[in-house]
Amino acid sequence: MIFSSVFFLFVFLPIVLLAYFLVPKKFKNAVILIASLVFYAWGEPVYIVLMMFSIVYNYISGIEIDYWKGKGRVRQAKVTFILAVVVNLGMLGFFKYYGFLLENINHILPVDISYKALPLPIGISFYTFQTLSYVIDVYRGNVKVQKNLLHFGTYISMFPQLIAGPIVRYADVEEQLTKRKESLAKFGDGTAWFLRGLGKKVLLANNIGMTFDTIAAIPTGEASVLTAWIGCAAYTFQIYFDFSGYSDMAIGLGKMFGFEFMKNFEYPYTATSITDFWRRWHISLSSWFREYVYIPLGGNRVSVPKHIRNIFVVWMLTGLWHGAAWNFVFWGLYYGILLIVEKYLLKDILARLPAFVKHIYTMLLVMIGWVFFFSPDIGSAFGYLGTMLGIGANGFMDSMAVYYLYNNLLMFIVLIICSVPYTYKRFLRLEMGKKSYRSIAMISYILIFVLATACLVNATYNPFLYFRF
Amino acid sequence: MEQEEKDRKKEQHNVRQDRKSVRTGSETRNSGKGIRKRRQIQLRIRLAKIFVVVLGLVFLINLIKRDEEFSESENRMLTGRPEMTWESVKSGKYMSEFESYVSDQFFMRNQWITLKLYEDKLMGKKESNGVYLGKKGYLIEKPDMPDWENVEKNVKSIAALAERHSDIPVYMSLVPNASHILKDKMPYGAPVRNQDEDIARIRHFGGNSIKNIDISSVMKKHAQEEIYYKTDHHWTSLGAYYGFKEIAKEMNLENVALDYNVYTVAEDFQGTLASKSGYHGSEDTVKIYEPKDVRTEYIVLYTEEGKKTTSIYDSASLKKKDKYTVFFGGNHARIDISTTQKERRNLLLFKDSYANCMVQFLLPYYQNIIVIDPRYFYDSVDNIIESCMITDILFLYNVNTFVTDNSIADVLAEG
Repeated sequence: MIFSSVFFLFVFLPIVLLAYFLVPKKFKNAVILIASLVFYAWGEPVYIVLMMFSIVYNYISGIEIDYWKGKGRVRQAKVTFILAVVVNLGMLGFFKYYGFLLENINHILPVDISYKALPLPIGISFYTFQTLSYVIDVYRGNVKVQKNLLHFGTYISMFPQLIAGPIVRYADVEEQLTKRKESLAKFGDGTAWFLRGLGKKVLLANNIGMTFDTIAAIPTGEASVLTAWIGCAAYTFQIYFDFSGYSDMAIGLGKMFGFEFMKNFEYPYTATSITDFWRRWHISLSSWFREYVYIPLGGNRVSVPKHIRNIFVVWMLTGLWHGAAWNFVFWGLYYGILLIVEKYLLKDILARLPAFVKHIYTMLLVMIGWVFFFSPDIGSAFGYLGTMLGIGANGFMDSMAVYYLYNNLLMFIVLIICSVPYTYKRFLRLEMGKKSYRSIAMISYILIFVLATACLVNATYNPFLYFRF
Repeated sequence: MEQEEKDRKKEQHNVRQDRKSVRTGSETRNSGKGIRKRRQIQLRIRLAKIFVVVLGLVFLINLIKRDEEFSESENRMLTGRPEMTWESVKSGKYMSEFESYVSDQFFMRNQWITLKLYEDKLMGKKESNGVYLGKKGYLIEKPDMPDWENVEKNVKSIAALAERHSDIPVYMSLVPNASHILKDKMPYGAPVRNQDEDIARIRHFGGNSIKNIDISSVMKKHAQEEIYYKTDHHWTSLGAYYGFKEIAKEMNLENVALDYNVYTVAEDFQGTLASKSGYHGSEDTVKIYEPKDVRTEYIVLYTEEGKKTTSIYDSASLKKKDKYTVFFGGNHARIDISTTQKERRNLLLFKDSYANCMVQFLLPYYQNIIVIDPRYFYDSVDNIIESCMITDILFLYNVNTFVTDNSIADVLAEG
């Protein structure tokens, strides 16, 4: 089930909200847990077993680690911990990378192992990282062990962030699982977040996504340079508004139930360097990698070669996390290289450049990155990049490019306006301003709701992009 | 590392700050900032109330509302409430059907769809759901990408049929679609497939055993006339008339009628493209053609349905939404037409819906016409050719259907 569907909005959500606010406090987590399991099973009726196993297994592992630690038997604790990490990663690896691995083995070695690629369980990349954050933090002693299976299950399966993040670390919600307070003010906050997210996803991302799909379907060699750039820009906006819209909806839903999740995006397209971009894009993922991979490897407090190694490890994993294919690995390494170059070579030069040059520099590199991300394989990625540079392109511009530009011009302007913090700040001022301003703000929210509903009812086009994560 | 530590601390601090500001919103009541913050909280509380009320109301309305079976404006059956079985739940079929059920039965569905179209228009959209919103009220279907593998298979099977029955001429006539012919009605700069190239490629697969009839050139010549419907993906009877003249020439029909009585049978036709795109701005007229000098009596037998009539026109269709079905009442697996024609020529016509309005022109020249739509037909073709003493075979398709068809090869398989 996805948030941006008529079923979620007008059937699932009202029922869950009603149940949640009717039951007494001690049953509230149970409502969330049941709702989450239904939510998950709705799209993955079979893999629900996998998630339940994950919940129970990690619950027991946590208790076991804590038990051995309490007894002072560090070795046993360590063994349990390592086993838990292996099982969690093994599950993720098996379901996500098994097909990819065998494909490559068959390619490299003179063997031909037949395999059946498994359908990827939705959200497995997200909830595996959540369970890992729990066992690691229990082992490290950063959090107390969770002895209540209900609370633990609620944390892992929580439907607002189950299938597309943000990746909530156990440490961040430990307290909230039992001591959160729902309030009208928070609910209102949540509604505002949710509606903004819904608008981003349904009104902006889906719309520009159609343009991208049409352009991406043009055979290489038939597109002009300008068409390729329009396509790339369309995807650049689509993925941001889709993903951040989804995160906003998750944060908003969380707030309705009294939870506070971390912000996942911070106007990434206003970044002034690649380093800055990754502080603003999918923040919960990059901070997870920083906390559990980069810093344990020594971070930047080691010799330069080791630091470079650490960056590469993190970024190869980041790439692989996004999908089991070489173009994702390539995409990750591409960012690894850019970050190293920025850190060791460009740092002083970048600092001296005027802001708009830095913006252009960043956006160009980010857009090139997305080509690797959206292409089905590395070969076609380079083909597409070639077209963008005029190699093998059908001229600089053709009637098709004019058509797409002309049809999407207004949309692009809206997308740019919605990508900058200034717009959001102005909007908040409306919410806090005099009465007529507040009416404008109110009408805007309601308009988003109504217009998005119209799109959802007419949902001939409502794709979900993250099934590969 | 220190920087990273700091970053994290800052993040945690921010989260804490956020939480605090919600909690202590009322305590800072007196400062200017407090008032502004309070206004925001009040606004959002009001928003939350509206949101919850709307969710609840919509939920109830949808629950109470009677389900509808058919959507006139979309011209399709709406999804009904699916049945819950262990199998359908396990496979996920139940869930996905339930989702379509909820959005198909959403209250005021048509009005919501209209609103969506206004949104698109406002954003300067020039296409909707695979339909170009063309100039002068024309809706033009976006051509599909050809499935060349299947096309080759189909054409090869046609060639094989021609070789098996080398004494019978096999003709193929592919009608280009509106997007290729009505270039000046297309939105500015809209990408078009060159269907002449597609047709050339198809002919190349077939080799010499198939006799090709070119219709593209004549359609281009008459592009300014109403040869395609504005709201439907078919050609008009006028378009078919021009096509027929080419076919008659190539197939050596004798004493071809030149004058026709033209009757307008409907003036408010809004076809499939109107349904598909949701734009109901234009209306079409449906016309039928009857030769002036020749009078042909005939009997139409719908073999599958076992129904016999004396007209190829179905007047009941004129009361329905899809008025193009006035020709034969739509597509049928097999239709046998026997005429009072004395000359012993028997035509076997393989076709898609484009041919439905062509048959009215072919009638006077054959004693028997057997019309087969391979999409619905499963019997042996060779048998028919033998037993009905077929003298001519014609494949009449529009390019868009032909390049996406996956039924011809199966039907033509030997035996």
